[in-house]
Amino acid sequence: MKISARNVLRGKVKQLKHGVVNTEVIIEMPNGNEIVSMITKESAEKLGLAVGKEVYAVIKASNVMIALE
Amino acid sequence: MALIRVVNVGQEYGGKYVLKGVNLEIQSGEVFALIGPTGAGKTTLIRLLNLLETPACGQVYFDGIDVTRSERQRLKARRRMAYVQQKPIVFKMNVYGNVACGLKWRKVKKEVVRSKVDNALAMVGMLDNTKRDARTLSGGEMQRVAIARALVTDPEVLLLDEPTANLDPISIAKVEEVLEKIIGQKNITVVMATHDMPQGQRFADRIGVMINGEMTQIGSPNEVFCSPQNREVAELVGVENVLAGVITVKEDELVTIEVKGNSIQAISELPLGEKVHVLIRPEDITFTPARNVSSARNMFDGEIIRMTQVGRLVRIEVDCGIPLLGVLTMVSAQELGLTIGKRLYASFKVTAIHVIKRRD
Repeated sequence: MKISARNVLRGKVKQLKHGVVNTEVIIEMPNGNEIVSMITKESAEKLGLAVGKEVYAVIKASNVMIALE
Repeated sequence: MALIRVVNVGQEYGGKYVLKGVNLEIQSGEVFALIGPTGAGKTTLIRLLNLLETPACGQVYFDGIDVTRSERQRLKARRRMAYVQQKPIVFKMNVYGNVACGLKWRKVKKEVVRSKVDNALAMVGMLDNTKRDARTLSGGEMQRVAIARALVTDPEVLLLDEPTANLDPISIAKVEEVLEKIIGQKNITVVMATHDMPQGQRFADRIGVMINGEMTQIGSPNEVFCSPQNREVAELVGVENVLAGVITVKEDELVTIEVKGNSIQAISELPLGEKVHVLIRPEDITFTPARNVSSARNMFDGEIIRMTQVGRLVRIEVDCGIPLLGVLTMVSAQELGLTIGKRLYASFKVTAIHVIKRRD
């Protein structure tokens, strides 16, 4: 996938929580870590998202925060 | 109860109002940043808070007491504050003498002065410079000595006017390190005027945005930077994509906004037919050489009309019928082979957009 975002992470949809407008998508990475995405309900439907489907989580470098314990 | 309360305060110089109807409450222990362009009234407000000036109208309360006009109350309140000016003045004496003077004027015992001055100079990283003539210090060192001079009297409120203006990047980093230490270690209320937005964002619990003498918005750094209340605040905090449009479709809170014949989808509580400004931060725009399948609801193709390198980032202006400015890393720009004239797709999420009512 050619995209300006530097972080493209492959995972599987673990859970979908539909709201009135938005859908929260929990994506499980191969190592068990989870990424949460908030997209519109319509986008979730257009992409045909379902539990178990393989997807990519795309995150711009400028949107990644770094924290220390 | 707020430690500092400003009620409908205005100030004028030579018949020209430089502050208008300012209302503000600052809690004890809070770090409050005043941000705004040069000439917005930040310094005037800081001077009013320090009770160096009397407002033309309105009231200033300190610790619940009206200190607007009573000289006795003003002096009592002022002794609980310290003020660091944008261009600090140092006296013709060594660094130690400069920091100690406030305590000597208060006739504090010599051994107490020594301990307090040493502590203050250690806090600002200038303990090795006690004997140096203060007039030989660099701008950054002078600022740190001025902060030590302010701290030595153990103020409850520290007022800082543009603490890093006109300093080089290394000096800015050192002064910011000092401020971080003070905020972290001392139980002190800080009011800081700055035109350096990231500095305000980094240090403040809350930010007040001043434009043309008015307090335009007060909120957490996140509220001010992500949800500016009007176009002026948006532009000030770096939202460089400000597009005028009208809401033409509304389904629940999902709206379609017509902008120069293009449809942008966003989330907004504003009603159908409302004239709005669509605000998109450059860092929220993603670029792809081809139309891709993603959850981003807004995707426009256009031509790169300008590219500007800013450090390790590249600012890209794309003409998509509507002008869009995005920011990406240099590595990304190189990997995608971006050049002026190249066509590409710009996409952004519905949730990356902030929609505000248009006043015109």
